[in-house]
Amino acid sequence: MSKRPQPPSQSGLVGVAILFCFVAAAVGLGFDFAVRARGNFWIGAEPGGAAAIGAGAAVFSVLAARAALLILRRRPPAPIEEEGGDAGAHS
Amino acid sequence: MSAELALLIALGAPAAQTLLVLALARPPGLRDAVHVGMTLLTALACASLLSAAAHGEAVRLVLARPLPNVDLAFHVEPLGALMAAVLSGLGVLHALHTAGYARATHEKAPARQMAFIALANAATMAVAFSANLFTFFVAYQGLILAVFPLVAHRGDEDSRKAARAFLATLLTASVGLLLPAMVWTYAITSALEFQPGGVLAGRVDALTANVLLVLYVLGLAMAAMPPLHRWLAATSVADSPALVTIQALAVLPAGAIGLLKIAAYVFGPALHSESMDDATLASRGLILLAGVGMGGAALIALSRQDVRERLAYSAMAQILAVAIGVLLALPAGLFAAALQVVAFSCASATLLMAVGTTVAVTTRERVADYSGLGRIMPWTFAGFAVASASMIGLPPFAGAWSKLWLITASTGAGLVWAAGLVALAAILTFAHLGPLAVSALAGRAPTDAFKRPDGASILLAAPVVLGALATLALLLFADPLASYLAPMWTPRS
Amino acid sequence: MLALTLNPGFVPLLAVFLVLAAPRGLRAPTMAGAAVLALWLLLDHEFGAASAMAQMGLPVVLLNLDALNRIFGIALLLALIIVAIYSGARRNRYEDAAILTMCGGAVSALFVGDLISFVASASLAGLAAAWLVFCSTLEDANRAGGRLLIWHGLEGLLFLVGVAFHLSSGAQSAVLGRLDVATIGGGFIFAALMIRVGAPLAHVWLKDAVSHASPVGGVALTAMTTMLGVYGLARFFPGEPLLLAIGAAMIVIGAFYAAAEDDLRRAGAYALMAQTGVCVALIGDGAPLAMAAAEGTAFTAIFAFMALQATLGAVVERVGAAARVSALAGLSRAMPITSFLLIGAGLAVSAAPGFALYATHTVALQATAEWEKLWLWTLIAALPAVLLVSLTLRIVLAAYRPLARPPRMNEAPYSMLLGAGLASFFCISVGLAPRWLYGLMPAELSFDAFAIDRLAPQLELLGVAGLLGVAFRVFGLSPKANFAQLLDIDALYRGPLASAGRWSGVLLLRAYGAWQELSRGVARAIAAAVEGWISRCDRPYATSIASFVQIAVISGVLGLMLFAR
Repeated sequence: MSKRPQPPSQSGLVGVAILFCFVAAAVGLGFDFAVRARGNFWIGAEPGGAAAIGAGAAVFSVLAARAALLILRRRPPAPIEEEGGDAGAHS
Repeated sequence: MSAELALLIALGAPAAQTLLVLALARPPGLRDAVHVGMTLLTALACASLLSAAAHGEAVRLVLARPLPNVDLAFHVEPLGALMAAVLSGLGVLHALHTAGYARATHEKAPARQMAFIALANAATMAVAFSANLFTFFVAYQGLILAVFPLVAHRGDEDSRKAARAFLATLLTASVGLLLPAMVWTYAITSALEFQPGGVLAGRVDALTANVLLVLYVLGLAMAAMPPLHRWLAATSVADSPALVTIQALAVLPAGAIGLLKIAAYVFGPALHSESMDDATLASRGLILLAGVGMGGAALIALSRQDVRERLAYSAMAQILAVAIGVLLALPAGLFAAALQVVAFSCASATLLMAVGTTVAVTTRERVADYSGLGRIMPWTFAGFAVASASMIGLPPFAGAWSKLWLITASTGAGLVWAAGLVALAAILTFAHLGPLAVSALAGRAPTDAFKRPDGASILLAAPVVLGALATLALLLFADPLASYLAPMWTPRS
Repeated sequence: MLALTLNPGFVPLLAVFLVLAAPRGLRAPTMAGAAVLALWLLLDHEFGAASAMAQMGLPVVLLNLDALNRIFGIALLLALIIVAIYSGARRNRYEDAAILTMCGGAVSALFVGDLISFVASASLAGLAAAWLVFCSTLEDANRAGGRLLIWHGLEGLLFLVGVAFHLSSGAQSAVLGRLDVATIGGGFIFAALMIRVGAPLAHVWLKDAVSHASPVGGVALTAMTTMLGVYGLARFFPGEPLLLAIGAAMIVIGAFYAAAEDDLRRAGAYALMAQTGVCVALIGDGAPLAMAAAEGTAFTAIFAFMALQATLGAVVERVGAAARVSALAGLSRAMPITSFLLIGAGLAVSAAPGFALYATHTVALQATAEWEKLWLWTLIAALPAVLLVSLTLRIVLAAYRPLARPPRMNEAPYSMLLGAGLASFFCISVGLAPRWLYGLMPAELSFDAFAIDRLAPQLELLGVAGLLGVAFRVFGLSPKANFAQLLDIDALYRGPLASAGRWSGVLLLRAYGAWQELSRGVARAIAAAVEGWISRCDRPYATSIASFVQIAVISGVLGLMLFAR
């Protein structure tokens, strides 16, 4: 890594990740459309079906993260509350 | 040594120990050496009697013959030999612990305490080896009288009240209920011998059997059957050495042995048989009483903040499990009850010795003060944790298998509700012992706990560890125990 | 009784004593040696049951080897070797002993042939897991250990009651066969296994334990706890329809929390829960191919998640506290090898082709496709994509985000790097040559994992999901990492449920106290009345009705005794 204090790129591994994912998607979709090499079960039998599942999964992840942080975020507990709230702490 | 000699030693050594300890009270080292040494001798004699019983040797010792067919006799049979061996073996650990405790707390009259402990041991051996109801009764009374000074040993007002409650309840029950039952049995069978297969089978009608059973079970107040259970909690004010004797090594086990012997050797099939001439009604009712008592005791234990009181109620729950097993009138139930007594003695002795060590070294008696003690007394509380797990009935410890057999036998006898009550009591025991052990091991270590600068001496800690090891070792012995005890429920022709 | 066929699980149990006495340098070799010896014992045996011993009147079979438990046994013992290598840098002998006890108990439970021994070994493993958490030096580990003890204690009691009822219904316990959930005994055992496998409502113990354990403890817990539950379900309840729903719920809940959790070891535990849910659902399916897929997935999931937890554990070791996504920036400068291993572990967990999980993932998809289970197929297919976006991408992008001043941390200890690397390497080697694994599975499998009609969809799936994931992050659509703690059902257990329990206890105490007061009052009243009557009777020469009654009664009794026959 460089020792000169030039401003580091903010993107880190993002570029590499995009490259790899793009290549994987391209290879997969390419074989899918060209050679008709796809699974043969409901959505997997459609061209690009697996891509749809992947897209749905990514959307689910983001929505889940947002929803969890919105609904399930634990309020920072008061110190006294924390002591007494544990069933295993005392008799 | 021959079996007769061993029996004589097993009965006589503790009695001699009483006198020797009082005589050789000074210097303290000599007194402790005598105490431990004689207990060891008793344990060795009982161990040799174990093998004698396994070979079916008929050993009988007769001391007196007050009535025709009734003698003050002792004999060796599997149940009694097993119980005597276990209780005397644990007694060695208890003797070590008592010696350490007397030193740590600067006990004012240790020789007197040790003498009465030895006397209680002698009475317990007599109970275990008793050959008939009369000997059992005499030994039982002797045990009550021997333990009474132990309860009152401290001399303050609480101890004396507890001792009075103890004496009053136990004596009244035994003289008012057990003695008439004995006399009635003698009137029916003109003998009081203990016989595998029972002596009452076929000779009693249903009403007599029911009433007799109630008289016997309630008369054995040492088995802490409600409503005669108040003495157990009251005695928890006693010192730790006394408590171990009362709860783990003498009183409660004697009650349990009594229940086992009476059910197996006096009632036999009269508890429950194909014909209607049996005590089914009373036994079902008593099982219900015991089951409710188990659950109630475990629940009450949850509310007690003094550790010794909590352990007293816990011990009551365990002993009532023995009562349930005994009253089920199945060999599996008898085996479960016997295994429960053995597991209970080991676990309860270890727990009480651990508590005694803690009290001696840190003077902490309340549950809330136990948090974190396990970090500065790791061996003691490791033993405490193992013994708690066995009392609760967590697999793979020994207490689990006795509860397993108890539940199996209950459902085998068609009493699913009894199995449910046993399971409920196990869960409640988990609730009142589990968090105690866990918070002791897991809490923040207290910084100023030790009252003695050197912590717990080896005499206080080693018995706890050895007791826990004994509890662990029971895992391996469950099957040999079953085949060893088989003559108990096989009637001799 | 001397002809004892040695259950491979006994070897780690015996090694506990060696480890407690061994000097520090020898402990890791002892653990690894025990694992190797046990593996040799395992592979040396033919299939079949050893002769039964009698225990308490019931046959006890100490060794019963077949294809089902062999694959689990190999997985757990290899995991023990990896843990042994990984643990080389620590000095805590009690933790080593706890790991050996846990592994020994779990492996023994795998290979015994009767219910009682199974319950004993499984409970031993559970208690050892609690001991392991107690040994941890992280903050608040004691309370977590206490909670784990409560969960495993409850599980042990449920097992006990279940076995008791099962025995009493006349079954021979030597036969480790299918149980029926509808019976009381079977139901209790099912409930106990639900706790062990981490079913919804009882899933909180794993994430609690893993996040509070030490690095090595976390790796060991990941490998050896829930998978015993999977084996139990496969042995006792194959084809049980309830498991389909439970497995699906586990997948969804696990994926949901894995996406949101900030503490990465906890997120890894949730992801393990999701993957275990796949196994559970496949067991619920029950067809031979599905069972084979379940066991294969369990095998590969163990190693994939061990790799993940091992690398995260290395971060925890250096940071000294939990590894949080929000605090991961700059890791690539401070710990380059660890960050590189994180990439590999993340890909392994996401079933990328070339890694072991992919090989069994394809079998699972095939199995569910054969039986036309639409939604299950979709869930299983989508899970790797979810894990890629929510676990791998989150971790890797955060770790490689450059900081102006990278944190001052040393690279992880060598043994940890070696252990983590070994786990990843194992995943890759099985992934590239899965025929070995297919040969171990119970069903006859001639399967080509790298057939183009399986490889292409997976590449497509992961590629598109990854692109979208990166896009979401770059455009700020996914939430920024922040130090957030999430509520799970255990907040309910620890808060309102515990309070309700305490409140009902107080009520019961008040009732009992009132009852005692009442009975004491009644006793006192009776005693006072009796005393009054007695004192009146105490003066027989005074003329009062009481003395006349006394004399009459005594005369009557005397007359009866003398004259009645």
